[in-house]
Amino acid sequence: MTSATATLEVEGIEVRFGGLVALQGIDLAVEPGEVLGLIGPNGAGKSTLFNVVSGLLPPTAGHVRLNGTEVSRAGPARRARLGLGRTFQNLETFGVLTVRENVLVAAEICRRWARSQHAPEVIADTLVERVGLGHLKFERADALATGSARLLEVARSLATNPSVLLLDEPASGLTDHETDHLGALLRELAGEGLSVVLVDHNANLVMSISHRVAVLKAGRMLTVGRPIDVQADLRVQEAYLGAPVVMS
Amino acid sequence: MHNFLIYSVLGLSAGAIYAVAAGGLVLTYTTSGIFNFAQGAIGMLGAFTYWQFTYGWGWPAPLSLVIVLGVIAPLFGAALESGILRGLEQTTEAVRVVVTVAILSALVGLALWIWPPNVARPFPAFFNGDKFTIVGAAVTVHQLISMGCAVAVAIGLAVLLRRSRVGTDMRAVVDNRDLLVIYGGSPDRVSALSWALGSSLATLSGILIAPTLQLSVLPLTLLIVNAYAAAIMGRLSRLPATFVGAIVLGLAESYGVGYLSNRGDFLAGIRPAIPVMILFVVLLALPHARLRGNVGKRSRDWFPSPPVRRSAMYAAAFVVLAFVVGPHLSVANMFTVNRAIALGIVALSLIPLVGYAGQLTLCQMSFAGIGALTMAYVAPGGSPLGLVAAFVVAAVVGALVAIPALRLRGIYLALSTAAFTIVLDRWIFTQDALRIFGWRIPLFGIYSLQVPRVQMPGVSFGSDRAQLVLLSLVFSIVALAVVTIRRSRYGRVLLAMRESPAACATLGLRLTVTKMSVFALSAGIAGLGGALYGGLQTAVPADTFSFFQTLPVLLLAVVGGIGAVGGAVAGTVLLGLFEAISRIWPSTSNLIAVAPGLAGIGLVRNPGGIASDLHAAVTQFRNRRRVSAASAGSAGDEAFEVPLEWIGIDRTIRAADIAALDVALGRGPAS
Repeated sequence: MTSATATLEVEGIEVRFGGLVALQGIDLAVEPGEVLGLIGPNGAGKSTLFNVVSGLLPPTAGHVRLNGTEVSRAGPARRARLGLGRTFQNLETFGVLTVRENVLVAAEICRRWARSQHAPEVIADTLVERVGLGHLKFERADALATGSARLLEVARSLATNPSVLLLDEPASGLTDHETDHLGALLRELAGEGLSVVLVDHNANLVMSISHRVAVLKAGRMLTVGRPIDVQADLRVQEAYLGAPVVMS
Repeated sequence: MHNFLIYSVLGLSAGAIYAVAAGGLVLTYTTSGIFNFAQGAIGMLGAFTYWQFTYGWGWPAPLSLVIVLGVIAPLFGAALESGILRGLEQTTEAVRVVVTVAILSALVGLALWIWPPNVARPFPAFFNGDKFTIVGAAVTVHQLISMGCAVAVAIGLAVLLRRSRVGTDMRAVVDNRDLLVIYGGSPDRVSALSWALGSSLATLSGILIAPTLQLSVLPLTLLIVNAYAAAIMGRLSRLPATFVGAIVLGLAESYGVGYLSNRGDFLAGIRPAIPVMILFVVLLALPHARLRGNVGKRSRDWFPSPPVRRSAMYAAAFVVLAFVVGPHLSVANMFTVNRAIALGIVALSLIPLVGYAGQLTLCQMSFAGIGALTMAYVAPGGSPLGLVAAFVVAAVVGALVAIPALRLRGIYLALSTAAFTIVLDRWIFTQDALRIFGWRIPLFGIYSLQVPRVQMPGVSFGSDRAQLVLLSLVFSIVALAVVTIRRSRYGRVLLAMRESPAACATLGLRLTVTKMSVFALSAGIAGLGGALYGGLQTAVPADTFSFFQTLPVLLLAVVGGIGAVGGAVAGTVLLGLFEAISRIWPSTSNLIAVAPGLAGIGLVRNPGGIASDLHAAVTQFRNRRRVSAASAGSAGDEAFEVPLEWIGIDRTIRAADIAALDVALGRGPAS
């Protein structure tokens, strides 16, 4: 499973915690401009896979490549410098900093290597507006509601100008209106060439904006395909305890 | 061979005592999640209490043992738990460490108060040191009792934790107190019980070791370092490994003393450093801690970002004040003020490191000592270049000390810095000189070292009054620098790293470089402060820069408010006030010695520190005045003052919220 153009490639990833197999034989490739939905029941290994890809958890076996560079042994900072961005399911905002400072600090950290022609302050102001947090710019991040904090994480991860973005449940806690706005933003970003891997429990969002959907169940990849095929897949419906995936 | 046997017996019995102390440490840590830095101090206090009963009042030894180990020590432990430590559940690890360090500091002060150190207190071994011979080696009954105690404690703890209902509850309470309640347990009782047991074990170890170490406060308190080392070998959770670690430690120490102490070189004095060095090596060998995100709690910490111009005005005003007030101070008052300001510079050094970056350290006075040594070596004539060198050398050492810190967090980090400072103050600083590649760098030695005061061409800072101006100038410059850091890109990065190292790493931040740089910066500032502090004292003994001197500076800086420069200022004022009070009313000096500890314990109630309280009070006062000025004449407004929490709003309402509300209500933008 090698692709000449893939921004992110994952090959044969396996993670064991003692006797527990958390992930096994995971292969994935994401193309530039592609939105890949990653779904699966709780405990399927979605966040574990994100931790492996971003370098926070060393896998028992397997490879990760970013834009063609092998990064399986690299730390999280090096992967970020090679174009990987992510958000966290358990919020990891910088609580004592303001919303603007959260994004600003990310833009400043990457200023040396991201080769952006814009000043960090400009990047921060633009991104805060773009995710729709302009009115909360000077609030402390630990005073935000969950939904706003998730949007802040998206803005912060975009500040490093990534080529691959891993989003871990960005829409949980968002209102319908905010979710629509986020969906449109992600499509827009993909249009600019960003690869997005999206984990979310909001099936409407995942199915409506993903080009392809991958389904994890109990640490194994059940299937990867177009949203319409995945929704029709009986195994996927079974994975969700017989509840068919809601169509939009 | 004969010597080897003797050293082995000595080592085994010492190891047995460390095992008892370490067992208590692991017990309280696994059942409360609080690493008890005061374990050694509790043991020290227990040994003194036992001495008081048996030798002070002449009670029979068995009766005193029963009273001290069975009644007083457990009650004391339970009281500590329910009175102080129970409030720590919702706080950060840094606050927990600081509070137990504060307890240590308070207990040391208390013991020196009750049992003044100028009286000899013989503390014979059990059975007056009766001994018999096993395979050619003499073994005292006391040593046998020590080993027996260790075996009994090992078995007892294993049975308690693994086989008994209360042991299961003890292990459960640290994970989830509320859940234990649902399952019918009583977390308060269980925690109190484990601290009672831990306190008894600490006391037992103190009583057993006292005949070897003699009954004196500081060595007994530092005994805990040996227990730390053993407990770390068991990764603070596994009792068998802890016990093996304790025995290894006892043997290593005994062989070290036996085979090295009659050498003529610097290794002769290595004994106190052995356990600490083992601790250091074990800490380095620990597996790399997984990168962790924030703990999901809303932190109550406070990191204000004051405008530089306003801060500069305060700083200038401070220097002018020093210049004007100086001539009116008495010699003694002048020295007190100078000393407080010099230590205040060291307190400022803690703000970027402990405050902004959230890295705990217990070795700041060691960096200050290195600064003083550098000043004395590089600039014996008092050239200001000595201050620069003091900053640079301390910064380099700080970066080196940071290396284990890169892999360690929280208590492990605090421990490794404590290990570093104890190696320095018990082994290195008291040597005459350090010889490297033919250079002879004089150290403090057993008496003192001359550290020069700054002299510049045309300006001499030789007089106390000139010192006051110099110190206040340097303090102001450093304070301004620390304020500037808070507002800079670097300050934001430090705060971000403190909040979530994991998120920083995934944004591409090299945590290694950042941590080393902030350690270096902080150590450099401390070194600068130390050089000035040394010059102030002129003849400087080694214990000026000991572990026990770091504690009040750290405690008062944290009590002042470690997130803000104002906190270091508040801490400095407290330092000066405490010293002035104890000088003016000598009868209070014992109380004052306990004060930093008591103040640190007070953090349980208010982790934000004095500076944040003051700021909140001033803001509230201003707002109230503004509101009352605005609503003057419009009676009846009071009726609308419903607490916001009542209507489900848990934060301050800002202009942005009102604007959003207006939009939602279709009123258009707020006018």
